[in-house]
Amino acid sequence: MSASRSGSAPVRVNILHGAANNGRIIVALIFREAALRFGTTPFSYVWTLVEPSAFIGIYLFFRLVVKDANPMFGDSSILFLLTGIIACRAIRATIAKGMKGIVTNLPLFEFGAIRPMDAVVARTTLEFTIWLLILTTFLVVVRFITGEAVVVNFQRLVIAMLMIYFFCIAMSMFNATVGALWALWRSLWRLLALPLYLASGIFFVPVQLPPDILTFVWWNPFLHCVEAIRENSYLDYTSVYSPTYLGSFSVSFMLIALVVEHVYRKEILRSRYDDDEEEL
Amino acid sequence: MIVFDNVGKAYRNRKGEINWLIRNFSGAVAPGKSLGILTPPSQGKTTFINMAAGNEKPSEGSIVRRGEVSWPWGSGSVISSKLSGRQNIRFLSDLYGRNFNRVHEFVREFADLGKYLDGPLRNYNGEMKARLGVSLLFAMDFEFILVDNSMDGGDMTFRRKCAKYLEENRSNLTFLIATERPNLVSKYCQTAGVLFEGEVTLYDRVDLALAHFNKVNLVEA
Repeated sequence: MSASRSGSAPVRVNILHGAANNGRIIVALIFREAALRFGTTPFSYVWTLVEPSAFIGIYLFFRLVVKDANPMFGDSSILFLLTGIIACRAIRATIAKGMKGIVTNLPLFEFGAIRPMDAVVARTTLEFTIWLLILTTFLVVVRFITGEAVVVNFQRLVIAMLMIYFFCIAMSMFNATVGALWALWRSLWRLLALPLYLASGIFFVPVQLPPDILTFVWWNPFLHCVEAIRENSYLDYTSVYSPTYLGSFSVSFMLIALVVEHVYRKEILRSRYDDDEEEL
Repeated sequence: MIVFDNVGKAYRNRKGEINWLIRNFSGAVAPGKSLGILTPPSQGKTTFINMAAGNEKPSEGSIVRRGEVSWPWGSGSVISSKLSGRQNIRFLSDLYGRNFNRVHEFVREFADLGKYLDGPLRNYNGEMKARLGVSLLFAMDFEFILVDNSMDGGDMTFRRKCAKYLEENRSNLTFLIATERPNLVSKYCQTAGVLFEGEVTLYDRVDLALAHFNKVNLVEA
């Protein structure tokens, strides 16, 4: 019935055409999400960046000035906390926003052109971009304050950020599908949030942990995200970051999410997350 | 071309019994040859159109869409009340890969919403929203337009404007209509069928379908 049965060239054309279509839909959704998020005034755009930045700024101020925290690694406490806190907070906030991509866009799925996963990818991408801008701003500020290089390997940092972005998309998809079907997973995700956050290497250097504990916390994917950034922010940092683990984890969760979405799409669209509040 | 190949759609009721809304339907909507499916109320019009739109998957068989298929006429979900008219136009232009300026210009003239077009949709009344929705549907230049039961929308002046537009662009438009209103099918379709108790009977001539529909509709009533 479809053109794809007539040979390999049409298959390639179909795949490319489908990918182009899908890309266009996701870009359209990103701009729509941005319009919904930022409103119509330029002030809203600025506020979206200022609000989380202010939170991070105040937190760092208290940690460094009021509590006079010592750096766990290197000379700069601010860089150590920044690469940990911003990375972790960015990932959590991105996933929290992305996982609501389906439930907040239900009417969009009523006219056929948009699939639920498109909305999740668009929302995750927008949130990730916002946090990337915030991280860049802070790194630039730290660079000027300390006068030291904050990125030692730009190319590897870009690859690390892509890995983190992929992880965010996979987790958002997983939470948006599995979480929509099973309230138990949503509760579990909320319960796990704090332990995962604390065990992600924000306040310690993982490689300095006793081996028994490290073996345990190594399985935390957030730890690998933080380590991926730190590895490229310090010249002599010994990291436990495993791109293979982070990639495999993301692929596995994404595949599960895609299968669940394919099988239970109707049930997922009926779910309203009634028991949830926006998690940040 | 929209091709239905042995399509069936079933639902399981609370007792666990399977209820087939449509079964073993094979047929096609070719460009320039609009198809109307007449069906009494609550016999699966919306499900049929949703499947054609790609919003619902058939329980069995397959549907292949070659060419651009519209969202169902009158579907309120295409426009967001949280956005302005202009932002809605921007989104749908991006979504379907259309030129924003051309779409905006068409909608501005056709919907005749004046300064409201650039304002938030929360300031629109229902009639204005309907005008925006129908204008956007026309502006997208879809090859196939899906109609779920009615082609209403807007006040009488706007409806006349729509009827005139459809008349003038008849040769470029192909409809797939599922409705309980025979006049829509006789006005816009070249072929027709009747969906009754899960079975679709297709006819080459619209008058034959109308005769069949009148018979089953009478029984249903």
